[in-house]
Amino acid sequence: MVESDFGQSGAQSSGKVFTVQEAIVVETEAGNAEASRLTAALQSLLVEKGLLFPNEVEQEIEKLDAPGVHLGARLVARAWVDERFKERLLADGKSAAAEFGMKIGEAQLIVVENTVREHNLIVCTLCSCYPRSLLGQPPTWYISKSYRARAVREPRDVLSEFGLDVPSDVRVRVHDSNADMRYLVLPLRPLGSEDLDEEALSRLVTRDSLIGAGLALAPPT
Amino acid sequence: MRGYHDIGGDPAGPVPKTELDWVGWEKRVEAIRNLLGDSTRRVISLDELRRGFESFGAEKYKKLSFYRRRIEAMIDILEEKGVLTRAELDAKVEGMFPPEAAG
Repeated sequence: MVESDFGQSGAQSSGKVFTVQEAIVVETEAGNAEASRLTAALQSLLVEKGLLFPNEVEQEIEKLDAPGVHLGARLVARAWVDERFKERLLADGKSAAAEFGMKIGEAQLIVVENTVREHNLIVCTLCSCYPRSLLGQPPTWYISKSYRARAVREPRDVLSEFGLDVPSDVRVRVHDSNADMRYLVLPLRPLGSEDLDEEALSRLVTRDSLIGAGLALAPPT
Repeated sequence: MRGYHDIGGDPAGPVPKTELDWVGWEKRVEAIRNLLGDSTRRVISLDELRRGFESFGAEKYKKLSFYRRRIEAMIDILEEKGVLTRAELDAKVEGMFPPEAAG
């Protein structure tokens, strides 16, 4: 975890111009075609060698497509309405998720709670660790070099670029994920959501709010 | 020594707000890695995969896209473990996708 009170000097101070391609390498059409051929050939070779069964990869792809923001949103909505569940979620994310039949395969899940005094942000500076079995694939910007590099040094600036200005009296805590620990943010319950049921509450929980890059949505009026 | 992948705190430009679709071959790469790393196979662990692309050298690492890094590292490790060779894989690509047909 990194506190946010580093100097405010950042990208601009070095005088270097940063390009998007440097932040995130995007495949060209030819690159995608080449990679597709390579991947298909690798799969076929591994099937021939008996390491993969035919069709197994297709089944695994279906599993990869199954998780999504809706799972994280269900946990958050329950925590908002059930104080004891919230305690369990904050104490041991993996076990609390298991109460919903959600299996966190990859690592421990640490849930961090946003309060009126503290805002949490998640990053993986070394690579791309993300609670995939809960939220699916990370967004492209999450794996970009600029997010990985800057989120720990100038989180307020990064959040501000995302349209979220965290007041100066709110502490920003940044959590650097790794292979053994994945994080999930428990966002603040939006004002005016007192009368909503769990189902309606879960619709206010966005992906970005679960990473700390945004807030939960205001209830529909 | 600080590795080239260890970029936390480095100066960098604006975060690109791009949200690219997860394309077919990228999912396939992830699916194959998951399967090769599962408890019945244990051929490539996630840590080994990371060690793979963290040993590319900075130039190669920076040049490759996220999932391209992953498949290249996977191939390196499979070769290291004697499961397959690059030459064998190249021949497979040629066999499945003859250059004439692609041209």
